[in-house]
Amino acid sequence: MLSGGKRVSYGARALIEGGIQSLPQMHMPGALLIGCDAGTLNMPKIKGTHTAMKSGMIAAETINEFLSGKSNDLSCYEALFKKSWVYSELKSARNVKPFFTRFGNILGILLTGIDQWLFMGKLPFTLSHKHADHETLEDAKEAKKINYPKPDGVLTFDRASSVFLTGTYHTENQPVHLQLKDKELPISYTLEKFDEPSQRYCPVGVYEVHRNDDGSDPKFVINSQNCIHCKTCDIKEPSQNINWVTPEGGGGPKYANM
Amino acid sequence: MDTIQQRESMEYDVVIVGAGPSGLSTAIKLKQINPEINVCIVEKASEVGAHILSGNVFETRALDELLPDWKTLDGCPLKTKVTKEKFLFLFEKSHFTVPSFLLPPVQHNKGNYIASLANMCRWLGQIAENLGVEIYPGFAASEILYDEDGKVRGVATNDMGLDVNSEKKDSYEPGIELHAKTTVFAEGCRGHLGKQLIEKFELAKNSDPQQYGIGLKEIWEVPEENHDEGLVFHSTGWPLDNKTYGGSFVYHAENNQIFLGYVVGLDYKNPYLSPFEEFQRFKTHPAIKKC
Repeated sequence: MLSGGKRVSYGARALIEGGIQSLPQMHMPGALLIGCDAGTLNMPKIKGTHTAMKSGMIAAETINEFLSGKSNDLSCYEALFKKSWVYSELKSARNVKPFFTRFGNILGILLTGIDQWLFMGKLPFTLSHKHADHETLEDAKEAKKINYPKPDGVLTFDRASSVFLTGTYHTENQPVHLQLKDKELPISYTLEKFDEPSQRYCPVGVYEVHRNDDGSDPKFVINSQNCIHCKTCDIKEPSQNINWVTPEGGGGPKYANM
Repeated sequence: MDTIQQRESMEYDVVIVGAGPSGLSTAIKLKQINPEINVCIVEKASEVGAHILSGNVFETRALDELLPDWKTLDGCPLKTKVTKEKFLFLFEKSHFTVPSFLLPPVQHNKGNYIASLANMCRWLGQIAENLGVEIYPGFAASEILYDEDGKVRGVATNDMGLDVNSEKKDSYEPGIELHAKTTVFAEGCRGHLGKQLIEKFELAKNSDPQQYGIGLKEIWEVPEENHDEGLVFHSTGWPLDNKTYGGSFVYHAENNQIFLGYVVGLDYKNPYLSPFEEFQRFKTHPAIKKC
């Protein structure tokens, strides 16, 4: 399929999968939280665009009610949202992610088939999500190391050549937008406990542990200029020690037709 | 504090953070309901679409409602209808094709389009601007503004021209305050202001912990004989183990391009796992190579 072809773009982005069990209240005094910022993606459909758009259209109706004085605040968002097809979609999708989390991929597919095909998402129970993603890593010393094959530069690639294709750029000499709550923690705790997983979950190699030639004196390095704003570190860092904030406007990837 | 006093402010009825599909749909719908409502969108990317990444197989239901005549509108980027679908379960050296009649209806893509969401957003952005929406790309909303009652009254963009120690450089320009009767946060997954709002207003106090994935994507240009415009293909299984949630997508888009990508659930357990390397390894499966 890809032979004779050429890779022209690369990128990555976190996506939100919790569905209605995890959906926060979307209205608050003076503001609305919509789309994937709240979490309206439909997991079994692997689609979030149509639901995000609809959540925005409902926001517009809500705001119009408020601005025209027909309602005192934005709380009517909730009723409008629950009446909409987005809510019914998310409701029937609700057990799919938990099936996979609890039973693995093979059983997960079977149960999804039964739930989505025979029962059309109407099984009389709702399985909850029990853990946040930053809580799920096991200790490095109990985990199996994975030996990934070296990239061949034709079909498979390294991170450096991939970052290049994102076109990401940040003005030099600006405050680092990937903030550590505790600057020592990556080396004093996360390296020992989890072998500093940010080296691997970051899709563009922002995070590195540098050492002397003899392996001593590890230092945690943040190449924030490579960041493509995917937010994975903000989500997965086991102590929630990385806080992603906005760099100077205009910074970040330059995706053409992603 | 003096920088805050220097900030200029602008007043709007509605300020939207993020020119993605939800923010742009809000803006367009508002202008359709009442053209007098003044609406501003701030977008941290250098241009609309530049931070947008998605598969994407697009279901038109919301668009049909928002812009019923979308097919005839100028510049509509939806051109490739889904024509064929495949779902594979991969083992290390073999695979099993799940017959499509066994796939639940939610996983059928008949009537959907293979799309670049970045181009969709550029198109929707143009439609919004034609309706009078002000869009400011290159401005990152970095701070939520509250009034004395704790109600959200807008956002501020960040100061430009600070050095690594947050000292002012020659190019320094203070951020701008955007005040609004209603502020809409549409930053996409894990928005950094959304995260603060969820905490401050305890919006998730009755919800389960949120679940996330990481999606990686490449676009390939392939020889015509390897291309089958309209083909949509998904897989799960290898290279992930049975307890790690995830899978691939392969979409044959227009112009001999293939959008391919891999999603890994961020609830994975093994700290040695690398979503990037899993994606690279996925491409070497015999069923994918010859697909």
